[in-house]
Amino acid sequence: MKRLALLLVVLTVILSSTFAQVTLTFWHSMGDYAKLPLDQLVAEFNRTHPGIEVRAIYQGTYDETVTKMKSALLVGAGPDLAMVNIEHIQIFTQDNALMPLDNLLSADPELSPEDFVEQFWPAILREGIAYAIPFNISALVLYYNRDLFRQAGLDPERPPTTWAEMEEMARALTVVDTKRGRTLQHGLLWAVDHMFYQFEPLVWQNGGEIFAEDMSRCLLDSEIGIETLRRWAGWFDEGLSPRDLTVEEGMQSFMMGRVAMGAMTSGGIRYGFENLPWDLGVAVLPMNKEKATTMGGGSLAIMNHVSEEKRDAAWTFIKWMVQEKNTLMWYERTGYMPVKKSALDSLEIQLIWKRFPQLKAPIDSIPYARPRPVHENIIEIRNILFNTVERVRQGVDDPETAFLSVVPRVNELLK
Amino acid sequence: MRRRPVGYLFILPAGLLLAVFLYFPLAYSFMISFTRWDLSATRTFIGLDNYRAIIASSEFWNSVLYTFYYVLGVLPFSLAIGLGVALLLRDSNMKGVGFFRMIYFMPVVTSPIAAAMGFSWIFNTQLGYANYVIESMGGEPVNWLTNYNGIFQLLFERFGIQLPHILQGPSVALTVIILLGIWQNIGYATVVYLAGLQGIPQAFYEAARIDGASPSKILRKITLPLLSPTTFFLLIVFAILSFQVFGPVQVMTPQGGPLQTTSVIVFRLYQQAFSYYRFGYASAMAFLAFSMILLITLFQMKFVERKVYYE
Repeated sequence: MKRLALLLVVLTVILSSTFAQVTLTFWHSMGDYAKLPLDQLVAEFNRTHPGIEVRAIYQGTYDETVTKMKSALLVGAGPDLAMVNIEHIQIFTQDNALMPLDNLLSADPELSPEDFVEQFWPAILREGIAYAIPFNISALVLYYNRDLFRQAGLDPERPPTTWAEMEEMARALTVVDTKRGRTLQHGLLWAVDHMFYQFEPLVWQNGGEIFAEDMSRCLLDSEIGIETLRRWAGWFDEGLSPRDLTVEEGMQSFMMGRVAMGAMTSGGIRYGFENLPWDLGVAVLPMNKEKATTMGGGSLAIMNHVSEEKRDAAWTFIKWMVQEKNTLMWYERTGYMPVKKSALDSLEIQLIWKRFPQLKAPIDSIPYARPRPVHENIIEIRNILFNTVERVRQGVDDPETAFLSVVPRVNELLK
Repeated sequence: MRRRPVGYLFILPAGLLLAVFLYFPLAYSFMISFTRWDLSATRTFIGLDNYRAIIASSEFWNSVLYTFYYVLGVLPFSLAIGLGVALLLRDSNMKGVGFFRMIYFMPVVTSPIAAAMGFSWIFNTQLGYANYVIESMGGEPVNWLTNYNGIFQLLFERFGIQLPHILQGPSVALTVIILLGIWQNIGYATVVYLAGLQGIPQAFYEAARIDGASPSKILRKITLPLLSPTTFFLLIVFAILSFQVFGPVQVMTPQGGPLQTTSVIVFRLYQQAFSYYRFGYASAMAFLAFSMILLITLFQMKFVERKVYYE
């Protein structure tokens, strides 16, 4: 009898350890409309992987997640894996908080860097080492109101492809009540917020650079930088783009059909498609001397402190999340781009474009997409540059001198 | 009186809580104000560098100016309107007085964040109720939250006068936030004033009326002096709280307002700590702000309290 009991105990221990669940805590920043498809992906993974349970927890915006993760990691707590904005990776790698993935990648025949869209992969490298896997990558694209294009006698199939065309169309799309001297409809919205990312592609499109390649210097005080600022400020001086609206109010205006087009992130295309009462068009950003757009978004990273068991489970999860089928589902439901090359060539994506032609523009932008400049002080630098262009936009500072006076301060922070 | 050690046992629970959640963090942040620390494992001691950098930064002094605009805007109106409402609602036998007291107190118990969201909708340039009313009366819509011009400057501009920077007054955006502050304070001031009014003996009023004093004279010679301890209390509490304003600023102007004109001290502090991860610098700012509040309060105690009439 005693023996039988012992046997039972041993059996239970063995059985429970084979079916033991690895529970992974996964922090992410997908709120709003993107949370639902993400939760669905996670639920599907949990259903198909009985040994692993991923608990997805929304932690607020990317910035808020950074603060929470930094404080949690400091006391040895925090998630097992997390969605990290590609611009924030070095904030964590400098503390050795993220696991280098090179060993996992080279040991795994199922996934290699070559599988990923080549413009996306460098975004997650720091000093040549991969610290995360691209997951939700977006690009800045041009949203436009096809109904307003028709009303203005413009062809909604031919959105602007150059700055000159964009200015011309914006003029045609701007409606002014001459009696009261008030603009009823703006042709363009090119707002720049404290993230500064809407200004970056303008400099690149104009053939310039924002920083030296080694991030030692800011180059906005160049002739090209100044010219870009003058041209951009001109869109507000001329009344094409609304001057007196906050970025949020500008977006509202666009949604209400009072602004005809604007540069916005591709991550919201599907949301826009479903919620706007008018006909949405999406196009590649217009070019000037060059074609360019800014790439943003998040990637999936494993924390450096997790056990081997959890590491393997997390790796399984990440691999599954970027599988062709799942990355395409994510793309179709949000507007974030699929990260695998194979997905871009698939038949499936052609079908998605049939259903939602608007989703094609971000994919067409990929060859010109550039990751954003990164540096440990970049958040403050962007804030300073944002305030500088904002003063010019409001007519308080002169575009000719604004960058000249602020660049030394930025260079100080780059040291 | 003999000291008994058992007394310490009674204050232990509260003392522990305060120690863990207040005194320890306080000492800790004082310590890190002398370091450079980005929440990573390494922390470098840099002496007074943070304090020097803050004092040398024009952004900091601008934020001090905007904070003073806020405090000076909120204080007098909160007190005056609060007193006015209290005088109207002092008679407990008046019909519906309980209802009105509740109405006026409601903003106080409203979550400040919810109130700020509400205000940012009311003052939304395109969809807001404020502009809807203005426009339906034939006026021009106002860019409430995007106008960086000081309100005194806007006033004097009509006469072609250019005021110096420091006298231009709070920007239109900051004025909206001041309005929210006043709105939330009125109820609290009302309740405290009502309590103060109840403490004034009826005999004074009866005597005054027999002597034929006019209502305004009664107010000036009896009510106001006898309320002065209450006013002084509210003055100190509101000054300290307004100095620390942050929530509404962050909600209504998340990027620091048009041309940074709503970036008050605590907003800058938050930005340094939680956007730029400069916890040392932010802690130093906190201690500078603390010293300012302390100085102001001491000043009020020393000079304003002389005018307070204690029975």
